[in-house]
Formats: sequence, structure tokens, C-alpha cells
Amino acid sequence: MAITLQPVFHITVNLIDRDRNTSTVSLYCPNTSLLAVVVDAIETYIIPAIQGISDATVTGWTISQIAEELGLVSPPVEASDVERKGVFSFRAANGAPYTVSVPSIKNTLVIDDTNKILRSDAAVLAFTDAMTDPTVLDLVDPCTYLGSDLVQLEKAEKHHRGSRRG
Amino acid sequence: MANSPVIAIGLSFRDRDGNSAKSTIYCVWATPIADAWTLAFGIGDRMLALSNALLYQIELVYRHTVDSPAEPGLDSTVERKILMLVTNTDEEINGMVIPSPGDVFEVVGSYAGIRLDLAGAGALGFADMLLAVDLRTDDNRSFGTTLAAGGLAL
Repeated sequence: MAITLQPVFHITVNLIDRDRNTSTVSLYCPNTSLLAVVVDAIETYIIPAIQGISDATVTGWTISQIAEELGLVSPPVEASDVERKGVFSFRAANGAPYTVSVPSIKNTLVIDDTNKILRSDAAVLAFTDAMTDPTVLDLVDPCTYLGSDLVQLEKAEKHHRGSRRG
Repeated sequence: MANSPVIAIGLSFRDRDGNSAKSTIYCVWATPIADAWTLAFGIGDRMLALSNALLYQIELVYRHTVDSPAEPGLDSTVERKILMLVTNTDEEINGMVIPSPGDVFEVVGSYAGIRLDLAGAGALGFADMLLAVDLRTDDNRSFGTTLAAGGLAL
């Protein structure tokens, strides 16, 4: 992947008005700052400054950092279709289910006459092991949105699901 | 303020027809940012081996929510916005749009209710913030430290 990290953190401050309509304020700061320093700047300076201008209420904020493809790249192959997804269902340590989709799953990884993904394929194993085994990626492993570690692959199937126009 | 228990990692793919789709994975909040990127690129590489679309963007997102937000002002409406104009040392002008401006406009003259009162408390507080925080543009130029003007965004 020739993906380049952007030099800035993108800060989005969320506001809500009396009728529960929402809007945001967007700003940037250098990514050379420590995240804790950015958090402190948001809470100490940025939110009070916004609240000094706006009579809507700040309900939260996000800090994001983006890495993206900047140069010219070859277009994806003709057979690519992000609505054809490999849907991997995992079980977390707390028993909760967790699903992640891989857009445009290769048809060669789908068992003929079924929608099952070939779980014994080396590339599939590399992905599912990285999702469930913390030793694969330097002791960092994915978890559910509540923070519970993923421990086991339950299902892997092809599904067709909607996308957004690019 | 309360943070989410996780960092969200969004991986965006694009196909031949220009359609895009995003996969989201999570890692625990305490993960150092460099390790979160290691995870993001590691999972991205492995997803790419399963996909014939283009992985064109990866995003780390840290979310915070206010525990008990105050009730918004009676007249608040986020459809109304104010544009704050800020200048930097290269004499470039950058703008920031803030929804639902309160009582921050001039109250007399031709621009009453339209132009930001630069001597008002809100404007002074905003100007102080510009001096305290190293804000940037999206391409990492200085956003600016001088509040030059502001007005109702139409």
C-alpha cells in the first residue's frame, strides 16, 4: 500500500441546538503534538472559545488522523465490486458477537455453489488469525466496540450489501 | 468528558465503478497511536489480500462525549452560522464556520446583527484561543493567530 499519513489531526466538535438538530465545527492541528496535548487544548481552549460564540451546546468531539492514497494508482480490476462483501463473524471474550466486512471479496475465495468463504485459504487464515491472535500484530489485536477481545471466528460468508457512491 | 472505550479504525475501499465501502475495526483506547497504526496497516494488508478493490484510506478516530451537556440556548439553531475570518503571518485568510451564533454581533450601525463585534467577550475569547492553540489548515499551513473579522454566513 502506498498510503501516506496526513500531517494533521482533524478535530470535529459536535454541537446540538434546542430542536436537537446537530452540526459540527471542523479544525486541524499538527500531528506532531502528543494526543494528550491535543485533548487538553480541546477541553481548555477550543470548546470554551466555541461556546463563547455559539449558543448551541457542545456534546462531544472526535480526533481523527487519516492516511490516504495520494498519488495516481492503477484502477481496481474490472471484477471489483465493494457491494460483494466477505462477512466475518467473530465471538468476543465476553460472549458478544462481532462482525467485520471485507469489501469486494475475491470470488476465488468463495466455495463454488455456496456463499461460504474458504476458511482454510492462507490469506483468509492470515486475516482471521490477525483478528483473534494478539501475538500476530505485535501484541495489538482488534476488539469489539465495547473493548472485548475477539477470540474465535464463527462464520465467514459472502453477502451483497449496499455501498455509497464514491 | 468521557472517552469511548475504543479507537475506531476505518478502512475505505473503492471499486472499478467508483463505489466505496468502509470496514471498521476497533482496538482498546489505551493503545499507543503508533501501535494503532501498526494494527490498522496490518489488518489493511490482510484485508487487501482478500479483496480486489483498492484500499484508499485508513482513519483512526478517537471519540469523546460530554457526560451531561447543558441545555442549548432557547434561540439556538444550527442552521444559522457565523464565519470567523482569521489571518496568518503569510497574510492568508482562513475561515472557520461555527453554528448557532449567540449574542456576538454588533448591535448598532449598518451591520447590526450581521457583523461580529470584535470587542465582545465571545470574539475576545476566540482570539485568545487562536494564540493558545497551534491550529492548522487541512494541508498543515498555519491557520492564523489574528481574528480579523466575522459575520453571519449566508
